[in-house]
This record gives sequence, structure tokens and C-alpha cells, in this order.
Amino acid sequence: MPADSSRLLLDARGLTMAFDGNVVLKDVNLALRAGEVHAIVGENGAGKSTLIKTLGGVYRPGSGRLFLDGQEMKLRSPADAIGSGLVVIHQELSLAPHLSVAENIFLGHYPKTSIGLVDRRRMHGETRALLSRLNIGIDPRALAGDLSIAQQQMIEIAKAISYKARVLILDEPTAVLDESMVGTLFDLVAKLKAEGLGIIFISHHLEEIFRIADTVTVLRDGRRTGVSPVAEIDQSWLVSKMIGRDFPEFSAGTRRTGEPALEVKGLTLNGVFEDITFTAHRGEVVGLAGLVGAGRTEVAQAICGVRHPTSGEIRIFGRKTRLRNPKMAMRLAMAYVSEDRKTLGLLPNRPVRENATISKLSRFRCFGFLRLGKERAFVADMIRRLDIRLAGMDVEIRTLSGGNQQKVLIGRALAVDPQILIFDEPTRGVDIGAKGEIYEIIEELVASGICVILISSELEEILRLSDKIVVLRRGRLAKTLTRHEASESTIMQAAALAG
Amino acid sequence: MLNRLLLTLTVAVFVPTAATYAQDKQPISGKTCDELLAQYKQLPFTNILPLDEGPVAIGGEEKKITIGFSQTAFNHPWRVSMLESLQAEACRHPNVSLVVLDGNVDVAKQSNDVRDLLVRGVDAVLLSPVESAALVPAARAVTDAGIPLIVMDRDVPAEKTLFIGQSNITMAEQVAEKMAEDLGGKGNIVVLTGLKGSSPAVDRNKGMENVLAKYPDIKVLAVGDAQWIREPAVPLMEDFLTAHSDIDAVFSHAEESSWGAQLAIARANRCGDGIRHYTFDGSNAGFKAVKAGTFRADGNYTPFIADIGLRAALYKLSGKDIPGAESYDMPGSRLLLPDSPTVVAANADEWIGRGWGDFEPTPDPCKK
Amino acid sequence: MNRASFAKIWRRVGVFAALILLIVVASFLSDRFLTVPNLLNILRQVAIVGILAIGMTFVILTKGIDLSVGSLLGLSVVFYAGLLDDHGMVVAIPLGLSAAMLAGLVNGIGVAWARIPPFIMTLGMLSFARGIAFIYTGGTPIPILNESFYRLGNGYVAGIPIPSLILLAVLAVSAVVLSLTAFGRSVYGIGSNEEAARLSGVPVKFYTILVYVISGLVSGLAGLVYASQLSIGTPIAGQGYELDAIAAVVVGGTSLFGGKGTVAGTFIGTLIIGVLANILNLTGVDPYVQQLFKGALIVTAVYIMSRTDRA
Repeated sequence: MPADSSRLLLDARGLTMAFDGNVVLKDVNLALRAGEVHAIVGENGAGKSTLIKTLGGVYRPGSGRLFLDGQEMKLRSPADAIGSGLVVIHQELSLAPHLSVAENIFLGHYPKTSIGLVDRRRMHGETRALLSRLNIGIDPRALAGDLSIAQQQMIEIAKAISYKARVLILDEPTAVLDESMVGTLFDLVAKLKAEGLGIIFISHHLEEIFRIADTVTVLRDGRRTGVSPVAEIDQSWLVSKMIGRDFPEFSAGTRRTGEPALEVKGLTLNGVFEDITFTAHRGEVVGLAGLVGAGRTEVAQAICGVRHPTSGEIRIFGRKTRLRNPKMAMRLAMAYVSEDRKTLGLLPNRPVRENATISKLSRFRCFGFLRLGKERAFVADMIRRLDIRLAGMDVEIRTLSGGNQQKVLIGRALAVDPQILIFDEPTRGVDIGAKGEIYEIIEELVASGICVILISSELEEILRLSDKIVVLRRGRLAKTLTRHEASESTIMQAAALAG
Repeated sequence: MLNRLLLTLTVAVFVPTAATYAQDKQPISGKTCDELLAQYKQLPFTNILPLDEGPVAIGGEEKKITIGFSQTAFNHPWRVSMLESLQAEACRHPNVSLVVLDGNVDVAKQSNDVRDLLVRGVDAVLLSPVESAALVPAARAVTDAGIPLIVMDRDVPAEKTLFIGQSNITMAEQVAEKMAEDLGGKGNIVVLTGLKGSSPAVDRNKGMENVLAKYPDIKVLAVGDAQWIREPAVPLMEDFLTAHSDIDAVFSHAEESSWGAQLAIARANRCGDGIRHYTFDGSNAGFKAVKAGTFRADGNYTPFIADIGLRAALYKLSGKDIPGAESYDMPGSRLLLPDSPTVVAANADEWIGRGWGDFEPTPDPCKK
Repeated sequence: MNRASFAKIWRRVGVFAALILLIVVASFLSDRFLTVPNLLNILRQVAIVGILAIGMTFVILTKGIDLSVGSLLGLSVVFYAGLLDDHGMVVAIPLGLSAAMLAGLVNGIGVAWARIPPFIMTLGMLSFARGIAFIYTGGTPIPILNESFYRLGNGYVAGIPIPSLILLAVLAVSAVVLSLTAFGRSVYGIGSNEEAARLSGVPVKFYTILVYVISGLVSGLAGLVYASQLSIGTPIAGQGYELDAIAAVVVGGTSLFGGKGTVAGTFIGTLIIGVLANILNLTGVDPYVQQLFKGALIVTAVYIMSRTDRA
């Protein structure tokens, strides 16, 4: 166990932070050893990002002390932190897209030739050596903007190593990666660990903690509620420490499905997906699984009128339809909750109330005018029913947490009284508490006879909720699995393997 | 879809326009040669550089002559009237044709326009510049091409064949003298200037100040930028009337701005104050307003000078000397036009019909 | 009170507070300022730009911009002037308004269907409509002799100038449309996030077109005020007004990034600019210096707005 044998690298004691009298971090201790992967978990708002920003020199803690290799540190800026070997890799990557990999890595400290020009040969040579040491197979001359997200992330990490980082803080690095890329990232983390770096790892995906971390610290409401070697705990321990109660369990297989609600036959959108066929019934959840880029979202959008399929057939309650736009889909009682809250879902600077009702303003119309009282009553009821936590229905939706934003968008979809509801990654970027609540909402909807199509990259989620799983691979139907046939391995095999 | 719509719109607009041009109407002014020739008789300066009707011979040969005219812009009827005097002269000479370009009040565009004229191979360039200094390079390009360059209205400090213009300073002095005389050398006035920074506005202001220097009892209460037009003059005058209860006269650089001021006076119920208007532009409508007593004086800054410009170019091309051309403090020579007399009640009848524009004056809102 | 709600309250009353402050300062600078005739003057002086700015608010709320409003005003003005003498107000007014609305329709189709950026589309229309106005008049202003039309621009109803009443009517109708109709609500939605609005079933294209038609219609109404007040149909009417209208909108607290703002704010923004011009004239400030004040006011107002936005 490296955690015990090696020296203490980073030691934070009693970190406390408050904004305007609002305590967001209270007396938090954190000990990181060389060669250790230390996971930090917690719901949104638990204090993870404040802790990271404090360690990264963005915030100065109100009280508490920070030791690096036994030496007390006073970090005044992010540059200070980087200078002392503490490097944060943020979720939003910061590479300059028009510069090459090597230029990005050496940005700000280019090697110079004797006459002061950039020494390209040396820069490329050193970059190549660095990348090969880390087992990263990327050409130093490639433009950063041409790389995939996963590759850009690796370059950010390589850049950190070139700064002689001793402690690497990865802020939700897997949030933007799909299953296969996560494996590559974890290989790199293992390599860094072997080189004696200390790694702090933030993730919403609890199974990743068990795959990669040595130690885990749990935060809730700014306090440390648990710390333990990963080997000694299980997932329910983590969840209970995070949310302060047990995660809801569902009894599977008791659903009663009704008539066919949505029938898709040979649906094709040239160059994107082809020949997709499946049927979903009332009171049933059909999961759409597949790797990122398999065409799941595109299929869902073609079903609900956002995209226009080139051929194939869609029947809604037995009636053949051709949907020209989302409005038509809504009129036929079909609604879509997008995966991309920010660009396709939120009206960020509008109040929650308007966000919730934009899909069905006709509900409140009387002689052409909106009746605001009726609207308020409707939204108040929605807030109660979906247990949305907010200061009031007139606050801008962008001020809400991810989970509450998502619930408002679900409420928006429910406002059209849908019989078919398509959820695209309903729990992405949502904390674990809200996640459980969203599962409960889906269960309730299905129990009331609504047909749900669920797209998710989290296999666990798909397995937990779906009656039937349609696996896509590169825009084609790879396999349809019943609940009994489905498991993580059967889905992954169908999604990732040829034949 | 959009393309089709735009196309339809364009056709709808341009086909009728093109059709009217087909009946031998001159571009922009929209008048036929017959109409223009009738107007020619009324032009004030046909006796300067006189030229007989009929084809113009150059070196004994009656070949086709193309003259380029780069105008500041055609956004004001004064500018269109200037073009009419040019077109009228051109109509008298069957072998002379015009290429007319619109500078859009943009020195950069006008510089390019002048160069375009050179590319099109015109025989002479007439230029009425947006602004003096900025057109020096364009003027040099014309001179370098060995083509006559006639500059009109505003001058350009570069080598040229001839500059033809009137003096805004002496004209403003005439108008201001008339005002001082009417006021008996004592009173309060407000000033509505033309677009600030433009050279006629600067010169008209200078002429006024030259005169007021002699009358210390005439006080300027307020100055506003009315931009030559009516709309900005209204709120300015309204505010002046609110601030001052003792305004005797409005000295305005443009008739349009005077009309705006008069509207404001009527609306403020101050018609009874007997506020007098002194203005400039020299339109027929302005002269009629002088006759009706709305305006006390109208500075007669006539646009009908481009016919002289064309004649000067033709003189030069056919090798004739230009009588009256004199050297002055700028490169090239100048033909100074006599100041047309300021139009006042006494001579209004004589001038009505010889000004520019054939529209009626706005009904005086104080006489309703 | 926490910071977020302070920002919200400031957004709601801050512009108004600025107007009150300006009025207080102005009444100290000139004893003629706080008189009924002067206040009515201001209300009439701001009518044209105020009406344009309300239409502009609709467009900016959708994250668009309409640079052609000044030209559409000019277009309607020459039609009123050209048609009045022969056909009377009953024909001239509807036709003038229709001309401006038709141009707005072309703007809307260009933006919503052809996906031409609003800046470009309306810049093109700025030039195109001005060109038509020049062609129609041959460059010469058309005097308006119609007596009842003159009274429309210069008369009073219940002691209030008719142009100001037109402004207030446009304001009231717009405020109701924006806050109490599905269309108004969707205008905010489109500006806040067009894609999200589309996915929520909002007829984004149709409403976007409608917004530009409204801007055209309102430009035509402003043209009506212009022509009737000034008794002249000049093809250069309204040149540069688009910038005055945009200034009033942003001073009134509407975000150029869409989805945020009210017509009431725009009205107050219009008044702030109008009162400033008025007091500078009353106190006889040099016209060159007036420009400085106006520029500084716009930048300061928007700076304060953006600060409170971030808080």
C-alpha cells in the first residue's frame, strides 16, 4: 500500500472558507502521500470546488494551514500554486486551439536559440520525449484544436508534468469522456502515480473511485464527513456519507406495460444513423445505450422532430407521423429532455417560472393573454411535485444547482402532459442526491403509464431503469437486450466490439 | 426563397425607374433636356464664360466628349440643383456626355470615385468635394493624368485648372448686416448652425462674427447644431424658448432649420414675440417665405454654378483662355463669382423663380 | 439583503433612480426646467426616438439588432408626404405604415429563414430603404400642406401633445404584449437561448419575423410623428436614428446579449437622454461639449448595469 509507505506530500489542516458570512468550507483536513490517488467526493455544493480552488491558490483560506513536503505554504495566486508544484486540471480545458501541442506545453516558457528565436527543434524534441514517457501517442506538431477532448486533457496533464508538478488535482476529468477514453486516462494516472506524484481526483462516478483511488475523502455541506482507504469501504458507505441517508432502491421487474406507444421502423438519417428499429410501450422504459458518437442523441432528436430523418417510419400510438418540428411532437404528447442543458435546455437569464412554462404557454392563455396567477399556481405545484429547491420561482434559472435546473427542465417537458418522454442523459452533471430523486420521478412517470426513452452513458443507470435496452454502434442497431439479458458486459460488448 | 423575394423587390423598384429614364430623362434630376433648357434661361451665371449652343469642336474636330462629375452627395436638393445646371449646359452640346458619381458624403468614396472617372477615360473632371484636404491625392491623380480639373463650391488645396466658388464669409456678412440693421444694433439672438465642423457652417459663422464684432449690443444667447435640417432645429429652439423669454432673432445657416425654429415658436405660442429669421440657401421656397415676411433675409448661396464648371472645362479642352481666372493663395487659379445679392423683401419678386428647387414653402405655422 | 436580490432591485429601479437624480440636478441648474411646458416639450421631443427604441427593444430582446429603423422611418415619411396631397390621410397613413412593415418583413425573412446575421441584413436594408426614399422623391423634400396631418403632429389631447400620446400608447401596448402574451414571453425565450426555445416548441422563425415586422411598423409610426410634426417629407429623415434608439435601449437596462430588459426601462432610458439634451440646451452648453456628455452618459449607464449584473 503506497499510502502508508511513502512520505506525506500535501497536508492541509483545518481549512475554513466563508463568503459573506456563508461558511462553505469548515475545518477540512486533507493528507496526500506521494504515489497516492486521493478521491474527493460529495454532492454539488458540498465544497469540492472551493477546496480545489483553495489548494490551487485561487482563494486564500480564512483560516487553516497548508504544508507541502513539510514546508508551510502561503499561496497568493494560481501562479504561486503552480510554482510550488500544485497544478489543477480544470474541467474547462484551457489549451490554445490554434497552437500546436508542443507550443501549448511550452506556452510562456519557450526554449530559445542563441539569437532569441523560438527553438522549435528543441521544443518538439522535449515534447516528444515527455509524451512518450507518459505513453501518450500524440504528434507534438498537431494543433490542439484538432485533438479530441480526451487527448486535450492528456496534453493538459503533460503540460502540468512539464511544470514539474508534484501534486496534480484533476477536477472531474471523466465528466466529458466516454467509457473507452476513461480507461486511457486511468492508465495515465497509474503511470503518474508510479512516478511518485500525489493525485487528487474529483468525480461524480462512484465506480471510478473504486477503480482508481487509494483513499477517499467525503465532503458534505463544507465539512469532511468521512475519510477511508478505498479498500475498506463500499458504494453504499460512500453514498450514505454524501447524502446523509441511504440511496433509494427500486424493486425491478414489477412494471405492467401496455399498448405500443412509439414504434420506430428502419429510421435512417443519411450519414448519421441508419435502419434503427424498436418499439416502446406504455409504462415501459427503453434504454438507448452506446458509446459517445454512436448516434443515440441523434436518433432521439429525429424521433421528436428536431432532426428530419431521410427515410424510415415513426408511429405514435399506431399512427404514422412525420414530425417537422418539436412543436408537432409536443402536440402529439411527446417531449424531449435534452442532454445539453446549457445550449439546448436553459433560458439562462430568465426566471424559473418562465423556463418551466415556455413549452406550453397555451395552458395559461385566456383571450390571447397569459394569466399569470394560473401560471404561478401551476409552477408552484410543479416545484412541490418535483421537489425543486430554490429561493423562489422568479430567480434566474442559472443560479440553481445542476440537479434543480434539470428538474425544472423535466417539469417543462411534463407541462405538455406527455405520453412519451425522451430523457437524454437526465443525470449528467447532477449530484448524487438529485440523481436519486430524478430516478424516482422517472419511476413514478412510468408507473402512471407514460412511455420513457432513456439515453445514458452510465451503464448502471440504464441497467437500473430500463425494461429493454437498445444498443447502438456507429449509427446502427447493434443489439436489443431484455432486462434479463442485459448486464454491463453484454452492453459494452455490443456497443464496443465489432460483429 | 429569399433570393426570389429580393429579386422581385428589386425588379419592382427598378423597372419603373428604368422605364422613366428611357424617356430621355436625365439621371438623378429626372428632368428631360427640354425642361432643363427652359430652366437654363433662368440660371444666374450664364454670362460668365459664355458658350454658344451646338457641338463643341476640339482641334477642329467634333468628337465625342465625356465629362466626369463627382458630387459630394445627392442627399440634398441643393446638390441636385447643382447637377441640373450642369445637365442643362450639357444638353446644349450634343457631343458632350456626362458621367455622374455620388460621393455619399464620404471622402474615401469620393476619392475612389474620382479615380474611377479617370479609369473610364473622361476628358475632364468636375469635382465638388466633400471636404477640402482629404481630396488632395485624388485631385493630384487627375492633374497627373493631364486632364483638366475644375473644382466647384468647396476648394481643394492642390494644383487644378480652376476653382469656382462663392464666399460663404462675405455672404454671411451681408445677411448679418441686414439683421443688425433690422435690430437697430441691439438685441438678443440665437444661432442654429449647419452641421458642426463642415466648412460652410464654419464660414457662415465667421461672417456673422465679423459683423457682430461691430455691434457689441447684439448678444448671442445660445448656439445649437441643427445639422442643416429641420428635425434637430425643433427641440433646440423649443429649449431656447424655454430658457429665454427675450429672443429677437434666429440666425440660422439653413432654411430648413429656420422652418424648424418657426414650428417650435408656433408650438410654444410665441408667434407674438415677433422673432425674426435670418437664413441661407437661396431656394425659391425661401424667397417666397421672404416675400411673405416669414424670413427677413435669405443668403443667396446658389447651387447653379456647375454650368460654369462645364463651360470652363470645354474652354480648356478647346484651347481657349478662361477670362477672369486669377491666381490666388492656393495652387491653380480661381474664378471668383460675384456675391448674389441677399434676398430681402425688396428684391424677393425679382428672385423668385431664379432660386433652386421647385417646391412650395412650408405654410407658416404662425399664420394659421 | 443578499447581493443577488440587491442586483435585481437595482436593475428594476436603478435606471429610474438615475432619471430622478438627473431631474433633481437639472431643476437646480435651471429654474425653467421644472415647468409644465418644458416637461411636455421633453415628452414631445423624445417621441420619435422613444417610439423607435421600443421597437428596437423587441429586436434586441431576441439578441438581434435593427440598424434599418432610421431608414424605414425615412421611407414611411416620404410615402406620407407623397400620398397626402392626392389621396388624403386615409390612404397615406396605411400605405406609409405598410411600406415600413414590408421592409421589416424582408428583414425578418432574411434573419429567420436565410439566417443572415441581423447586423448584416438590417445594414443592407438601411441602405436599400434609404435608396428607395431617394428614388421616390428624386432627392427633393416634399412639403406637406395637409392641415389635419399637421395637427396630428402638433396638436394636443387633454393637454398632452399627440406625439407623446402616440409614444405612450406604443409603450403601453408593447409592455402588455411582452409580459402578457405567449409571443412576448417567447421573445424573451428566443433571446435567452434560441435553440432551447425551439426545442420547447416555440415557433422561433415566425416570431423572429414578427419582431422585425413590429420594428418596421413602429418605425412607420415614428415616421408619422416626424412627418406630421415637421410638415416635410425629406428622404434623409431619420438618418442615424438607429444609434440613438440603440443608446436609449441599452441605457434603459436591456442587454445586447438578449433575453433581458423591458420597454419601461427603454422609455426611462429615452427620457434620461432627452432630459440630458434638454438641460444642456437650457443652460446653453456648447454643442460640441454636449456630445461628450451624451457619450459619457451611455458608457457610464452600461458600465453600472454590467457591474450589477455580475454581483
